[in-house]
Amino acid sequence: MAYRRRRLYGVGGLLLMLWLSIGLAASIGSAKVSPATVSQVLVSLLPGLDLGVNVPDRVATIILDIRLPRVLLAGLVGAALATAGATYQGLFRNPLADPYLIGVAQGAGLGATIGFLLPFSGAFSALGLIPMLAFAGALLSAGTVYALARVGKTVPMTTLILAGVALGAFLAAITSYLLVISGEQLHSIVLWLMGGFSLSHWGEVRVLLPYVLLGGSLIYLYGQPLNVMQLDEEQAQQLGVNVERVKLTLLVAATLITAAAVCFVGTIGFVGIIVPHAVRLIWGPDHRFLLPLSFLGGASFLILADAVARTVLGPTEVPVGVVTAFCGAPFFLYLLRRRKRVIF
Amino acid sequence: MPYLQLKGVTLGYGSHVVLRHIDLEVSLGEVVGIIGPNGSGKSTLIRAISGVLSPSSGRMTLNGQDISRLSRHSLAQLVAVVPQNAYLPETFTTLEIVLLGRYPHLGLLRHESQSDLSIALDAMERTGIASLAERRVGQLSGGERQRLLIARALAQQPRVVLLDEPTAHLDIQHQIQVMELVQGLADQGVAAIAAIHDFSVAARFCHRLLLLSDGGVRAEGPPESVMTPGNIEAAFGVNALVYRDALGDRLVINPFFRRSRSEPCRIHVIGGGGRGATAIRRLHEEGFEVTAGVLNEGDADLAIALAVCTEVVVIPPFAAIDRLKHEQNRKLAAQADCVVVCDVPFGKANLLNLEAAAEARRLVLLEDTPMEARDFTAGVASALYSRLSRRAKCTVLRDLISSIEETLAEGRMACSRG
Repeated sequence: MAYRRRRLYGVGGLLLMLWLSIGLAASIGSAKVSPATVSQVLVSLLPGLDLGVNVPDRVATIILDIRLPRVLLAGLVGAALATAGATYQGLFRNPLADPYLIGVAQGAGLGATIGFLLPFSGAFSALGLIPMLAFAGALLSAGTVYALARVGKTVPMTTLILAGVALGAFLAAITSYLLVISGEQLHSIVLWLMGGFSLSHWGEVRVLLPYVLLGGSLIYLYGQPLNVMQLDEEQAQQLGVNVERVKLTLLVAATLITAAAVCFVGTIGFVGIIVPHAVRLIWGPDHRFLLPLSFLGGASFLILADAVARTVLGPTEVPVGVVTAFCGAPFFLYLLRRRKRVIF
Repeated sequence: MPYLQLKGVTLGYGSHVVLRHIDLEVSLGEVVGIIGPNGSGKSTLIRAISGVLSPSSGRMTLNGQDISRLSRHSLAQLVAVVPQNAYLPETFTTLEIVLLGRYPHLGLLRHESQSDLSIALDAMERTGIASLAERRVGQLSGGERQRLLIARALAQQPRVVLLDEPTAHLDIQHQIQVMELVQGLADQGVAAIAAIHDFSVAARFCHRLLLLSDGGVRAEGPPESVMTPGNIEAAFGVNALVYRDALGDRLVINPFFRRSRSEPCRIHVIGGGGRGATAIRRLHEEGFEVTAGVLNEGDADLAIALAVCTEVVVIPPFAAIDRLKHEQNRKLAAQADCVVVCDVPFGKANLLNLEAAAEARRLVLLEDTPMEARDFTAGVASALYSRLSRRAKCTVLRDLISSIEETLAEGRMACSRG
């Protein structure tokens, strides 16, 4: 089957691209390090490989302690958001669905804002109060939306979207009110809400990694049920899909990885919509490939976007959300025009 | 033992009950048609058997196992559905949709194997859509979509296939093709249950019919025992002629609305040679009580006359009218409010029919073909006929009803003046 071969090439290509993205992103910054050196350091990290690499300690420290955590965190967040986006789009059968559709972003935003305003939160660490509050806010919000949308034993997807939009607006209103009265914390809160990777450490990578890997693998196993659910729910049931269970599992998994990603780095927009669509345009709508390809593509995309965000204006960082939208949108429009057909 | 059993099943949506206490048994190899008016619960019954609608009471078993206890996955291995008006995503190709039928048979990673692919391709071959494999669903015609859904059900390799209006969007060739396919599945040991609107399709292709109306089963059994004029009128509120088609011995159901008349009125039709059938049917539909005579057995007019007339005078094939039958015919002609003489060819054998017409109180002659062209009695019939025509209303078949109404109205006026 030619299709399948093309998609397997896609997986290989994107893996290669991910490796190159990591190397490239780790090599650029205020201290000049060549991509070759970065590759040497990266290879030396692989277990069981001792190539007798000789890299100065200072350079190795820059790469391993400063750049690599940031690059890997960006990759994990990008993978999480793109996978969650693809999952939501498939579940809701709606091309406009993104990971924040059922109130995760607004809940995380409110949680983080409250964290900033609490009197004892002055200094926070990677695993401190603010990420925890953001994570809790995200899950509470998504859980409330799910409970509100529940009718008897089923959760109609349109009700879920409407409840998400309504609760999201409500939470955003509270956040805006808190912003107005926030005083000197305003700047930090706004920066958090825009999202970025300026405070990345290995600790965050270590927390996020299991969420993203486990959540991503779980979602991957549901690729074919998602394909079947592109028909209506009744047909999916008649073809053997336990629709309500699939919905619940996927919502929980996608919401968890989104919340885990968002709570450390704020709400980065556009990745969750644009990456799955780009993948769909190039490799087609089969979720068994769409999900892993989005995972890999999202990781590369956000790594590169963050590299641009921290270098384009010299020492000043541009919010990464600006870069994702600024680079991603034209690329997406180009793909859209090139393939003049219905894609969803 | 029947493969599928429904016992006292009650189905509905919320508090609205659609079907009450349904019993049904279907064995492998059977084609069972569900017929009934719109809203009688055909689709509801199909949805219930497919497991997406749970009965509020009663028991449904498949091979002895309770359907509600089976997982979706194992149910889908046994039961496939060809839905009506199903949504299909436009960007999927035809082959991709058919492959979804393999879903209940896939392993943990749910990638199709080569054998899944060949099963899907075989299903497409059998439904005549193999050439459309790479075509996107959005570009298919209504009939192609329908055959695609049937191919998907075939790819599921079920023991029971449920079809909701499988021929609704199909042209006549594909109607037959699809129903023969369903029969072929039954021959291979699959139980097929189909909701069908089209009576002749149902009668021709189903071993057994289930007639639903008013929240229950009105009749069940072989087509000829279910499709009776009485059942059809009770379920659908229309009259119907049900007869065996002379060309292939197929059951024909010919539904119509019969008007009711304010006062009873009786018309005697003199036909024969197939010239009277249309007149008899139209008079019956207009609500007249119709009698007919004298007709030979085997005459095309006799089938409809026996179906709708209150009295018919019949003689053996090719026989001439004898005295006894002639007297009966004269009596019917005399008793009728009006007699219609169709444009029948007259020979020695049926000349007495013209004489009987002379007994009529009021007379309408149909002259689509002139009398000279159908007189095979060297002028005897023409002479008789011209005497009749002096006091008759001459018209053509198309204007039969209005001519009869006029004749009857003139009669009433004459009565009131006299």
